[in-house]
Amino acid sequence: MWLSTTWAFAAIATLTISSPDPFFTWGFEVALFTLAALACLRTSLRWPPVVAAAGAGISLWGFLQLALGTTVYRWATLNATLQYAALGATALCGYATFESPRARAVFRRAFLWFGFGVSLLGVLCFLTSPGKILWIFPSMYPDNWGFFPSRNNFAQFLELCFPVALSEMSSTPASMFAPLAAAAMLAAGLASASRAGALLLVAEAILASFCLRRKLRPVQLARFAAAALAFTLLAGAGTLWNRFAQPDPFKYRREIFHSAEAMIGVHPLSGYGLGTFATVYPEFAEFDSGARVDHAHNDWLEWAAEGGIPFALLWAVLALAMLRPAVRTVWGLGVLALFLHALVDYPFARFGISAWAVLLCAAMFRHCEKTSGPNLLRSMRTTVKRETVRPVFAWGVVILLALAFATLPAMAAASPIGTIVAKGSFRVDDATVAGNATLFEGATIETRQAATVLDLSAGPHLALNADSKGRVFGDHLVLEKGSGQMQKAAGFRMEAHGLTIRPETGDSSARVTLMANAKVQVVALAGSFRVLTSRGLLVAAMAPGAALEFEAQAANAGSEPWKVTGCLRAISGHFLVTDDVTNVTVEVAGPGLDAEAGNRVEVTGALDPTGSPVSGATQFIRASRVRRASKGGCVASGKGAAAAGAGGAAGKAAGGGGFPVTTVAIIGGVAVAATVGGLAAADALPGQGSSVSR
Amino acid sequence: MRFVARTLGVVFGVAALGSGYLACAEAVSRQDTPASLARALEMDRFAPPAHYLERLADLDEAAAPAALDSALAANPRLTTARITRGLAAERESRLLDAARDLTAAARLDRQYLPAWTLANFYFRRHDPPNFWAWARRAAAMEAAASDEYRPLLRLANAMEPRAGRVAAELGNTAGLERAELDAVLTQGDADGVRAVARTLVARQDPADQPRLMAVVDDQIHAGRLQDAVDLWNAVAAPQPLLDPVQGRVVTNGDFAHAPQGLGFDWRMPSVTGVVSQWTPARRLAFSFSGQQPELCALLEQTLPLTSRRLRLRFEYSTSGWDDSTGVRWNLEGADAPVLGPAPQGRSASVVLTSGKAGLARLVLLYRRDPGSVRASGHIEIGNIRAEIP
Repeated sequence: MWLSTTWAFAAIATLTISSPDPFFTWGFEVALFTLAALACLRTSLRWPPVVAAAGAGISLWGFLQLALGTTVYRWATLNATLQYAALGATALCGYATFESPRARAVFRRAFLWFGFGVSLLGVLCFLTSPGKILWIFPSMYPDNWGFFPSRNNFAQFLELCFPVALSEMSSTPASMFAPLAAAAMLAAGLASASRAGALLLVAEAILASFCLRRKLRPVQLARFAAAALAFTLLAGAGTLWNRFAQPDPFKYRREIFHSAEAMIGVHPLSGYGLGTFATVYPEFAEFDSGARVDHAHNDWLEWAAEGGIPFALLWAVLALAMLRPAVRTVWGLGVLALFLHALVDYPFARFGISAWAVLLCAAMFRHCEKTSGPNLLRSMRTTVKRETVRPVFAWGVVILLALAFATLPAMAAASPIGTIVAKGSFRVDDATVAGNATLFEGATIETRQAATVLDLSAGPHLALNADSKGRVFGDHLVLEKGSGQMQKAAGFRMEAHGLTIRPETGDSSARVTLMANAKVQVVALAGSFRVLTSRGLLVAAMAPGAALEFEAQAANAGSEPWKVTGCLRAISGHFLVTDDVTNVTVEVAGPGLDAEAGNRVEVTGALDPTGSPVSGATQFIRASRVRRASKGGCVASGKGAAAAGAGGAAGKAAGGGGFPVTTVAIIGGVAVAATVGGLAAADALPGQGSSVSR
Repeated sequence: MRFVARTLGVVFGVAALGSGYLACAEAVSRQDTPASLARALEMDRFAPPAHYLERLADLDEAAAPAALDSALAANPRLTTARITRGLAAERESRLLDAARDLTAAARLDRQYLPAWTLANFYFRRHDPPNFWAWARRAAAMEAAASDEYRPLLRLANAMEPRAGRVAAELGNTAGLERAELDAVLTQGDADGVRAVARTLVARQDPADQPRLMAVVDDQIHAGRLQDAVDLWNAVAAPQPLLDPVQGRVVTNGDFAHAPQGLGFDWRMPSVTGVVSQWTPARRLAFSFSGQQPELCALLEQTLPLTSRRLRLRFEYSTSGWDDSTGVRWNLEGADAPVLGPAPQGRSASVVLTSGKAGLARLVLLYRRDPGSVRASGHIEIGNIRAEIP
């Protein structure tokens, strides 16, 4: 049960390695800590003291930093510390599990099958699922390898399981599967085109062949070689070849290494806090490619930068302690390869890889305990003098660290009109800008996923919603796509499809949306607005809370039909009607008006451009038909009538849980007809239902 | 030993609770409301996540200043929060606060965004020394394609209208100069083009040749003879230089290399029914199928002429033509005599007269002679030289 549970956690961590969701990590942590706590209560602990000290140090280092306050960001350090502690818990679970040789053998066999499956699936996905993980989940990279979003992670996983397959070849000479699996892993690693991965896999093959030279039968080696050749031809290694031919394989890595080195120089002993590399790196950055640098691409440097050199030394102790068991077991060589790969990448930051590494470590130590006695160091003492071990150990640490650091050098005016700010990037005049920029007169702003906020020096506060485009001037914004909003917009206007939306008061706020079929939706969120055509003709005077949708329609030849519905008022011999919907007051002339004065009427007619309307009206209409809508009921003023119209309607509908939008047709440049539809259907206002007023 | 194991067991148990607690706080925060974020922050108060606080500032305008302060207390290196706070201070005309926050952001983050933000800030404050200092730093960090320099260059050009000075002020990197050249070309700034092109030529980077050739084309199109010739001579070296005064007005007359179709080199328009082929034998061959248009240009070159008359010497040979080939030279609309059949090869010369001195278009064209059918055959031409008679 212990074995299967531990194995299953590691496997699930590998299967979910592509997910950036931290819930997976926290889930593994909870599971492994619980398992480790049970292991502590149920089994005896006789871990080799040096390894135990190093492991405990690595697991607890972050807690020490938190306690001493030597981290620049506590939350990041807490998370990283729990991850390192979870690795320690995994090692402990493994150590508890692998006491019997049978358990270790079963673990290796299961790991071998798992690795074989993953390698085949990886290549298959690479060839058939570009841009997607397992043909389903979107990936941030065009090439992905089964569960692995990165070729390096894939190769690192193969580095761990490849020696297991080679070792299995020697222990089961008659097996066809072991050479086949080893060949598939090697070919998959070469096809992955991870340069360090390919080199390490080849090195593993050579070293394992040397170590197993007396056990491996020629026929097994021949099977392996033939299968490897066939798989490599099948999977292809052309990309790897091209990557090796690249002029500068350490482009960007070199600069990041320099930055990490500088970080270590500032806090060599205490570090900046585990998990804080991404937070601190910008202070030492030497370039900016636009992508976030989360890791140093060298675990050794990252450990030293985050935890200080002592923390890196703890890892070095662990790596050196692995040296002998890895060579003795052969199947543990992958752990050494991973430590070497950590010089140019960050395999230990991925739980789906590092979990296997620590499980292999635990298995190796158990194996050495059983074959060399209960304590590894004791067994070492029997064969090697302490005086010999100490300088070798010390030099080893020095060389390993020197290697980590030595790789570095070898690899080694127009006036602004305001500001624009966004959480992300946007386009200004067809050039991509991140974060913020100065606004110039006439700049074209295009948003993508993130909305932008535009603060104009003159006072207006504008917003362009996601996936919108507009041209900004000091006194107006021309909306070309999507939607925008204006606040504190005194003296400012928005233009959309030839309509001008202009606030009447300084604290007005409106949202304008370009919709399908050249419709323009205007919502007066606060304050009142006037909507005018390009010729300056008033088509709507919107009260606070009103929402109108304007739809341009082709004018009929000849007369322009005009339809207004509202209270007919007689003032000094002139007849005025204020439209209920658009709130526009027009003067009407024609027969039968006298009889309807004081009633609510529907007037149909045509605009008379030669007529000059009286004060208070904006257009002069020759009525062809007057129909009474209701007798009496008119309030005294046009504004009052308007309140019963657009604003009133809005108010009523809002009280009922809906927010009506009225469609206004604009024919020949004038608003002539209105129908009422549902604003909620246009998803215009938050928190409001989908009821439709008619 | 048992005690140690038990203690370790308890430690792991506590760690499990800790991870679970972090997960719960994250789950609560994902409701993405001010209340849920506040609740998540309460759960994580031992180590508050700065990104929750930054999100809270986004969602709740009233709580934004306090939330940003708390975010920066939790993670003092949160550049985005510092920039947001700085820009808010600028909006409220607290310029000292704004400068302090933005400068602190740039101190803790050497990448593009803080430097770019400060350059913008000082641009809006009309403070050229500080503007250039931060614009230089932003330029030094913009390692990507020249396209991405455009916003910075636009800002810099607004600050420094003198042509060609911007790239120098920003640090004279090749990427910047390329972007600046594109910018001044777009603006039609002749002085700027001349100045920036000169600095780019001095770099002698072969990768710049297509861009500089495009500039030569632009100069030709604008009729700026001397600028075009100067730049061509600088870019096209080691080819023989153009010298209009001495009569060296034809380039690549011996077809030592394939016509590039750029600048003063030959252009070969694609013509239906005519197959053209350059051979390393320094000849250009045209095969007429008889299906070609009645009038078509086979080969063109822009010549920088200081006089209206030009003597053109060349060699050609034909095959498959019995009578007139229909092929002739043309200078700015003025035709030379038709080339006759020359199965054995022939040296020839024609005198051409242009309507004007300056940049003139020399064309080898085919025109069907009246009363004849469209010709078919093969003609090779080479060793073209020009003289001022």
